[in-house]
Amino acid sequence: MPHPADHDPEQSAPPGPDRPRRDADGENPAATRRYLDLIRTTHEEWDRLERAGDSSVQLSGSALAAVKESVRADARHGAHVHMPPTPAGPFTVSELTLRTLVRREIDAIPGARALRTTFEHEEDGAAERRTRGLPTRARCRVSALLGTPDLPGLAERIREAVHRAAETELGLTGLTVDVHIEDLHEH
Amino acid sequence: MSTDPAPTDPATLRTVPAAADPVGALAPPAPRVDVADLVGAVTAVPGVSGLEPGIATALRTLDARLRRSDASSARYGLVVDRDSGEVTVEIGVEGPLPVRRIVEDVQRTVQRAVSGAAAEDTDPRGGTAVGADPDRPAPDVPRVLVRVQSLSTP
Repeated sequence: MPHPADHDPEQSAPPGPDRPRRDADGENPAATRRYLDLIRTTHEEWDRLERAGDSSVQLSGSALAAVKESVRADARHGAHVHMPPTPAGPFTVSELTLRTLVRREIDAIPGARALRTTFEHEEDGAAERRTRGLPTRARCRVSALLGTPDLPGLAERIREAVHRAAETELGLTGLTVDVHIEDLHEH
Repeated sequence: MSTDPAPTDPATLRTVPAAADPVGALAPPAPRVDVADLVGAVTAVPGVSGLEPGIATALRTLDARLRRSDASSARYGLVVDRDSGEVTVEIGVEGPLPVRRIVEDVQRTVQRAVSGAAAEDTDPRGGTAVGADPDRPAPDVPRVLVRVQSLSTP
């Protein structure tokens, strides 16, 4: 199997004034130098502005906190999932939103409790990073109340509720809903 | 509870003079509405619990702030791309209305606000003149991408 560097145009061609050298570990000393220069220049610019009393280089505490929190929020939200557009334009929902919607529907059914739901999606070649295509299948893992007389009936009610919510809430038709009763709970 | 989208009377929305925005001045026709007004319009839509930014729009907002070149086009959770004319809105939703309905209300609210402001830009005497002159093209309706970040359950 060829080494990845073999396919790297920057590596396969001889280094020159316009072509940075990159070693076998993927390091790029020229890029590192440029980055260090950029940081150095930034520091110098900030120092100069601060000395001049220009407050534009300072971020408020809440602005900084918002950035930090947005990183955590991104982790909570998960990837975004394409939905059928509304008449007014496109929209996506986060994986968190999808899971919350399914959980809400399942937990509203007497005797059922949502555990974990995963989705399969259409392939979407145009999707950006961390964006998924339309959901095609939901796999709902649930717990049933101990003593529920008709477990297949319970599964069917769950399937119908999730299917209906996907259509009403999101405009998503044709979603296949698998229900796995993988636990029993007493109350 | 009223389910009508928030009122977005163009007359109440501030616009950004083109000359004040060198980036926008070079770009094709793009929304000129002040994002601060859009934030108010979006968060007033029934079912919207608030703007809920992801890391991408948060960093983009920060970038716009630091550059001070296009500060009127980005807020946490709401970004207007002056080049493409696309508006990205990131929201949390709550309440009894279907998610899709809330999303559409947000999209139409933003489109009305931006189109109204664009009309006001076109005709400094007021935005209501759009359509009165058949030779004048109607302002572009922007593409509004809504990203629903979370759903609050009662």
